[in-house]
Amino acid sequence: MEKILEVKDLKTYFYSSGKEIRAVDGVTFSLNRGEILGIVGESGSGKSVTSLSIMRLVPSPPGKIVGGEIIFAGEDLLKLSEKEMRKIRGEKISMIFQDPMTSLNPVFTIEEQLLEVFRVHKKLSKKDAREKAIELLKKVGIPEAEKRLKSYPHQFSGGMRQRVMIAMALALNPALLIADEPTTALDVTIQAQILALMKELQKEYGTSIIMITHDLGVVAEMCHRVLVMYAGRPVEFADVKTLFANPKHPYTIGLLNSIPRLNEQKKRLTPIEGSPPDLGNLPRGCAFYPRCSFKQEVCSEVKPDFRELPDRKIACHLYQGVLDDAAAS
Amino acid sequence: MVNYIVRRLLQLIPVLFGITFLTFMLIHFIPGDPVTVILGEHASPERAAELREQLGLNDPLYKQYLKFLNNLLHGDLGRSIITHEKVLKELATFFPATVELTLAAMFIATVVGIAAGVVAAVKQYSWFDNLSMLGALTGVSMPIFWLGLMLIYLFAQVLGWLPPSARLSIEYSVPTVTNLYLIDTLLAGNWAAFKDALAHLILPALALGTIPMSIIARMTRSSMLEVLRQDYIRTARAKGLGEAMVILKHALKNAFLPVLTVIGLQFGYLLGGAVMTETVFSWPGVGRYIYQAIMARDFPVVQGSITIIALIFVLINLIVDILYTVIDPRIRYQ
Ligand SMILES: Nc1ncnc2c1ncn2[C@@H]1O[C@H](COP(=O)(O)OP(=O)(O)O)[C@@H](O)[C@H]1O
Ligand code: SF4
Ligand SMILES: [Mg+2]
Repeated sequence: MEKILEVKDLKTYFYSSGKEIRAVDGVTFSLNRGEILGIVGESGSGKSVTSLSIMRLVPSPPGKIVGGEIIFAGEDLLKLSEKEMRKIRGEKISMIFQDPMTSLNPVFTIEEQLLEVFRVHKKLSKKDAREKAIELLKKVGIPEAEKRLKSYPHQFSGGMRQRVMIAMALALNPALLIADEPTTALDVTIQAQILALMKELQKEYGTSIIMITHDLGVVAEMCHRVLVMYAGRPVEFADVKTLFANPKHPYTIGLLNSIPRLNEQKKRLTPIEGSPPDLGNLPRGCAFYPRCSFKQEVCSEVKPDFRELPDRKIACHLYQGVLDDAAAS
Repeated sequence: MVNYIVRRLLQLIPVLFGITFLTFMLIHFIPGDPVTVILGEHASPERAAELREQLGLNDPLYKQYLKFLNNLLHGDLGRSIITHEKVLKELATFFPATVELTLAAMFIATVVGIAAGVVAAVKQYSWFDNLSMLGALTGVSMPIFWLGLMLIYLFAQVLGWLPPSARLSIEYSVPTVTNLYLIDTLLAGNWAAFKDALAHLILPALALGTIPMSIIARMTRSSMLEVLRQDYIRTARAKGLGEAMVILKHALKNAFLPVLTVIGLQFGYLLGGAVMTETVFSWPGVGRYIYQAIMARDFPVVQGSITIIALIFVLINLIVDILYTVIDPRIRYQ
């Protein structure tokens, strides 16, 4: 399968008040054309910074991409000039954000904000652009699209605004869509509608999607593969079925135990005890060490590599031995 | 919207009442009266009493006030005690001078203030940011009197680039239409006079514009910083817009609202007469006019001018409030 995106050892740090905050520290994953990849992890684990890094939109200062590669369609985005990058944003890679209430500019009409995408990237006549905009709004399920073009964001509900964001993101049929918790801010019923819409459009356009979420239900529903992140680092990367049926990393196991499952009559949920480490002051070894119930001596001293198993990638000393044994024999 | 405007205009009535009443009380409670000013310290008491009677100053205060109101309702602001000219007529010559000066000052203040504020915000903590904000801080605390004198010294005396005072050189004269010299000279088609009027306007406008410019720059900066953090700015960048579009279109329009408030307020203050500036630059404006009237206890002039200025101040506020709705569609008045 053709890889549309390959992120290798991405490191994005923030520098504030003399401290180095390793928000993203060695993230590695890849995404095939037409695939939906989930990125999960607790809040603060570096999911948003990862996606902003791909867009090269990390606020700088204080942030800086200090290492790694982001190969998109064969090109390392980190080597592009800002001007070349602007051609990619919104046309080849687009993004929708968590809070539709604040992601649209309150002082411009929907039309203005939609047409802008065409204006920046394509030489379309105003009339053609308008027609395309109406078609898009219809496609994302906005009734009376023609009339609503003249509306301002505050005249839409949260769900409708997210539909507008989706329309804007898909306007130029990008190869990659990054959705950063697109439904977190919405009601449950609206969430389901938006996810259904994204799924439908994904099928139709064949867009590759990075679906960032802290909701494993969304992952199960939408994604083909999943990257689990903890404290800015990748901990487990596998396809959805494998991960849900047979989670191996202690953090993934903890995550799965902390969500209610419909098919299993689990009586008690066991949230992971403790809280994520301070990114400005990470433990020397495994970042999960303080909270891990499987920890070993080596874990506090040595940072586990993110290594390949036959059915997944994982960063945990429990499996390091397995690998080394395999390598020795 | 029309309802709203009508309602706001109706609200003007009590406000103007309040203001005229307050001015009336204030000016009558300042010790001294115009009679002393007109006749001098050593006039005979009989002559003084006669004049006082003639000017209606012996009437009870409430009666004087009601008389003023009655005249006001008939569009009559009375006559100056000192010059015997109609106050409205005098205002028609002095007020345009102030309007012209204020417009020029606010133009400079707005353009430079917003530009500096935007750049300072975009390049936060850069040398430009530090320098311009230091300048703005100095600007707000600068005594205008002193600043005016320095400007005159440097640009008029030392460099000789610009005239130090008055509105127009004596060799020019143009027919008065609006009493705004920039317009009148153009209407007369007198290009040389226009340039002369403009040259006269620059220094006082700079002096008068310094404080509003500083306030506008600081307000623009903080408002921009706030807006640049917003999610929709990130959305604009994610669409592939260039920085110029992101900042000048998406950010500035949002950041402009609080700046507009400041512009409106400052505009009102300046119209109220920039006594200092007008004095330093011998600018025949309404500030000096009122100041002299207060000194002479010229009650009708003080009363009439302040009423007009209050009216304009309130109208500017109304215009600003209406402009809000143009800029921000979320603001709607019932
Ligand atoms: N603008 C910023 N300035 C400083 N630190 C930041 C900034 N944005 C993110 N970070 C750091 O990066 C960490 C990860 O943030 P984020 O990627 O938003 O987490 P997630 O999306 O997984 O909830 C945060 O906990 C914070 O320490
Ligand atoms: S490396 Fe050690 S501490 Fe970290 S998750 Fe694995 S077992 Fe737990
Ligand atoms: Mg996030």
